Amino acid sequence: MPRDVLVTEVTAGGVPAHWLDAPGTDTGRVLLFLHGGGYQLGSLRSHGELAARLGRASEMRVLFPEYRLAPEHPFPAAIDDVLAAWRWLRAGQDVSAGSIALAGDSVGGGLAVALLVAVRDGGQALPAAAALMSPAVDLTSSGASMTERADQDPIFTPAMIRQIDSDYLAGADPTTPLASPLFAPLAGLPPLLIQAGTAELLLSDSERLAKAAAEAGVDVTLQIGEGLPHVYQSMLGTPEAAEATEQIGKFLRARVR
Amino acid sequence: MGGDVRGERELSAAAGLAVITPGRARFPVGLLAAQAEGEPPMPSQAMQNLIDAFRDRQKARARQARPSLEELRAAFAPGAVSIRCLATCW
Repeated sequence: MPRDVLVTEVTAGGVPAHWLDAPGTDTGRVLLFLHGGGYQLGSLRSHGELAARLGRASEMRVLFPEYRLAPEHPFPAAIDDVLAAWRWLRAGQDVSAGSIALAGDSVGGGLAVALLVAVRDGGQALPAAAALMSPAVDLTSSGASMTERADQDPIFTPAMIRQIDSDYLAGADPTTPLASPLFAPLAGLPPLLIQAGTAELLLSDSERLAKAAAEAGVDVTLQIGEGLPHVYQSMLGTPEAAEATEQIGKFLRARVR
Repeated sequence: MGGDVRGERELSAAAGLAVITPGRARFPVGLLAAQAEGEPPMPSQAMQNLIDAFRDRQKARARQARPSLEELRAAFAPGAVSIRCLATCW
């Protein structure tokens, strides 16, 4: 975690969480950051730097919930916790929906889309925007890249992805929208920025999500990095991560009031 | 992958990102459009070093027993940070 970022523990609707405040950020605007890690791993320690960097780039304070992890807490524990944190932000902290954006990497990106779907279906006001980094939105693993990119992904194998999905679902229907929001109707969602790399098994998740969102009338931007791996935004010290961070910051600054 | 409608494309040469902004009622899908226009950027040397390290780790992992979930959680960090724990994390 950067030394100049103030970290404050908080309980967000019963969910352990942290506020991350970089100097100069607007505390009236909140970036709800949902970490990746295959629903089994991930914490402030692993993802705090990325979350703080996005908060700095977007000039927003960050709420970082530590949602419950599988396999001890399978679906729908993670999305339940994320929804609880959202409700706490809205009702408990009185933050307007238009002053909140979502960001998530990998399964955190999937959780972000699931949150949008749930909030929309609940008839509530939606966040202003969402930035999704290599989002995992199809737990059926049916994307073409699962096979076509198998020899290019330096991090995952198809078997690893399937095991991650299975451990999280624990028997739940893999097409259920709150686990695989690719299968949810997407109309009415706020602007989405989706970033992915061509060297990842989950590339098709991003492409199909962008296509479905665009066809549903959502304002969506898809950025594909040639030769880049899963969640390359986290690869600190690379120009690709720096550029992606700036792109996300620019996207969010333009959309969150 | 891919539709038959072209999207707006910008190129961020500094970082090799193909940026595709589909319009509301049309969708390109970017990768094909980007490649059709040539100049697919390559990863930077810093990124390539990380990719190579990930590949080495992937090969090593195939020869090793999978660490326990507790070990994975203790060691997990995405991206460059995780290079410090190549032997144990995903």
